[in-house]
Amino acid sequence: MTSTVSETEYRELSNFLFAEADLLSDHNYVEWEKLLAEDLHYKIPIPQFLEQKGARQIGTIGTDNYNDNIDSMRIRLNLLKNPATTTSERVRSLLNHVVGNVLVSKVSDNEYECKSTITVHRTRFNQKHPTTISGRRTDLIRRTDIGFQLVKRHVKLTQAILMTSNVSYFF
Amino acid sequence: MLIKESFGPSDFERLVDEENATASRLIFTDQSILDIEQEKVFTKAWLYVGHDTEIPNVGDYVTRQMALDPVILVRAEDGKPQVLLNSCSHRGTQVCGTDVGNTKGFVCPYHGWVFGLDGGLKATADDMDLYEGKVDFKTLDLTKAAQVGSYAGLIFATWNEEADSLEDYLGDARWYLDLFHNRTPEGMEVLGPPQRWVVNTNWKLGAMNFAADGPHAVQVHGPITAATFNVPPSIFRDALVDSPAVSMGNGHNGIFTQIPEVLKDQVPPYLGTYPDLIPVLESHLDPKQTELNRHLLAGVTTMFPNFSSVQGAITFDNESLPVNFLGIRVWQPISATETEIWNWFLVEKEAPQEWKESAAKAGVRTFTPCGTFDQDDAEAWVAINKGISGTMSRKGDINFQMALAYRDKTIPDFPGPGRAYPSNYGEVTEFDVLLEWQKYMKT
Repeated sequence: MTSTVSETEYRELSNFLFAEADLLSDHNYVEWEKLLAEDLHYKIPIPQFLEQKGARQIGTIGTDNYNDNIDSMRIRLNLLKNPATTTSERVRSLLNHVVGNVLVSKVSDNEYECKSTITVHRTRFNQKHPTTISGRRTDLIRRTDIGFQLVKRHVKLTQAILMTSNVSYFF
Repeated sequence: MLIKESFGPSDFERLVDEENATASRLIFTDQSILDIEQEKVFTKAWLYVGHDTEIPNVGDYVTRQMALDPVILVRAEDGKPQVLLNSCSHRGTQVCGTDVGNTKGFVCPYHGWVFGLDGGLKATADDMDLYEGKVDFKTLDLTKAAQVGSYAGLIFATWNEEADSLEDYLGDARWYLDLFHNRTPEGMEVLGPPQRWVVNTNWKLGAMNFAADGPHAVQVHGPITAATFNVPPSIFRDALVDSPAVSMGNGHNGIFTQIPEVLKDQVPPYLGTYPDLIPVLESHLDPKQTELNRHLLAGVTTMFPNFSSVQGAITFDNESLPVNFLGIRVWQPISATETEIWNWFLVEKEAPQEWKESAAKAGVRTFTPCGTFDQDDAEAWVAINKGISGTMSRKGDINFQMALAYRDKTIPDFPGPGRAYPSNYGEVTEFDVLLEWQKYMKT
C-alpha cells in the first residue's frame, strides 16, 4: 500500500529528517540513538560499475560499507559518544549533513517511506578541503507514541572509491 | 644529505639499517623512491590480483590493479586465469571499463580493436588488409603477465619471467596461509566485490602493520575490543605480549594472537569458524597447524609486498558467540603518500548461507573504512605521513628497536616453519618487511 501524504505529514517527516541530520552534524549520538527503532536495519552497500551485457555479481552476499542492526549500531554509538575510545573521532570532525529532495509516501497505517538525498561534508584537523560524500537514501520511518523512529535506511552512495581514511559517521 | 637523483643500490643499503632496526623516514615520503619501487618491487614480485571464486566461469573477468597498472583478470577458454594489461596495443586505451562481467572478448572503445580472452588480437579497426601486410599482428596482443599462479584460491601474477614459481615464492608461508585460506576441503569463497578506499599514507605502513604491529592494538583497538568482549584492554595487552610472531621467509610475516585465559569460554575454538565445520577443519589441516589455530584470537599476515589477511572472531551484541571474519586486502601504491586499499571478505564454501551473512557482517563492522577497527588504524598511518613530511621531520628514522630485544629469541619448538618469536610486541616481523623491500631495492 502506497499513498500520497497530506501537507502536514510531509512537513512532519521533512522536519524529522532535518532534525535528525542536525543531530548527526552535532555529533549528538545520545539523542540520535533515541530516534532508532529496535528493529533497525541500516545498510549502505558499495556501488558497482557494470555493463548491461554480461553483468554478474561477485559472491552471494555482496559488500557493504554499513550493515547494522540496533545492537551493532549501539556499539558504534557507544564508541562515538566517548571520543577517547576512538582515534578517528578523538578530535571531533567538522560535519555538515545536507538533506534534500525529500519525497514521502505512506506505506502502512503508521509507516512512511521517505526518499531523500544526503550530502555530508567532513573536515578533520589540518585538512584543507572537506571530504564530501553524497548518496540517495530510502528510509522507512515509523510514527510511534514517542515520535518518529528510523526503522530502515538504505543509502546508494555516489562514490565507489571512498577518498577518505575512514567513515566514522553516518548518512 | 641524500639528493633525490642519487638514489641507487648503495643508498638503499643505508636507508634501512638492519643492525640498528631503523629505517629512513624518506622511504615513506619520497616520490622518487616510490617510482623506483614500481620497477624494482612491483614488476618483480608476485602480486595478488583476485580470488578464484571471483571468476568461476570461462569469460568471467574482473578489473584490477597491479600497483599503478590496470589489469584484467579473466578466466580464459582453457579454464585458467589470465592477467592482461588493460591497455589497447593500438593507442593504449583501457579496453575494459567495468568492475566485473562475463564476455567473449574485449573490444577497445576507441577504434574497436578486438582481443580474445587470452589477450590475442582478433581484429583491428575495419579491415586488417588495409595494413597491406606491413604489420605483424602477432606483436599486437594485449600484454600478458609473465606468470600467473594460484594457491588456496588466491590468484597472484607477476611481470617477472624470471621470478621463482608462486609455490617457491610463498614457500613456508603456505603453511600459515592454510590457517586462513585452506581450512576445509572445498576452500574459501569471496562474499562480495572488493571495497576500495584511499588513505593518505605510504603503502608500506599498511603492509607492515599487518605483518604485524602488536603494540598498536591495545592503544588503537583496546576500547572496541573491550566493548565487544566486555573485558578491560589490559587483558589484550597481555595476550599480545605473550603470543607468537613469525617470519615465514621471503618477506612474508605475521602474528598469531592467542585467546587470553579469561576469554577461553567466550571465544569459540578456531576463531569462531562455523561449528559444524570444526571436525572437517581438524582433519583437513595438519595436527601442528591445528595446534596453532585452535586457540587463536586473531591472525594477521602480510605476504610481501602488499597482500594481507586478517581474521578474528567478533560479536556485536554481547550475547551471541563471536563469528569468524576473514578479510584480505591489497595495499595499492598510488603515490608516496597515497594508498588505495582493496578489501574482500571470505568464508568457507561449505558454510550455510545464513552463516555467510553473519561472517560478512562481522567483517564489515570491523575491517573496512566504516569498521570499528580499521577506522582508527588509518588515522594513525595518515598521522605518520603528516608527521614525517617536513624538512626537519623527514630527517632521522622510523624506529623498530623492540626488535633488538627480540630478534635473537626464537621459539625452538614452535609448531610451524620459519622463525617464530615469542611476542606480538617484538617488531621483528614488521621490520622484516622492510628488510625484504631493501633486498629488492638494492638489485
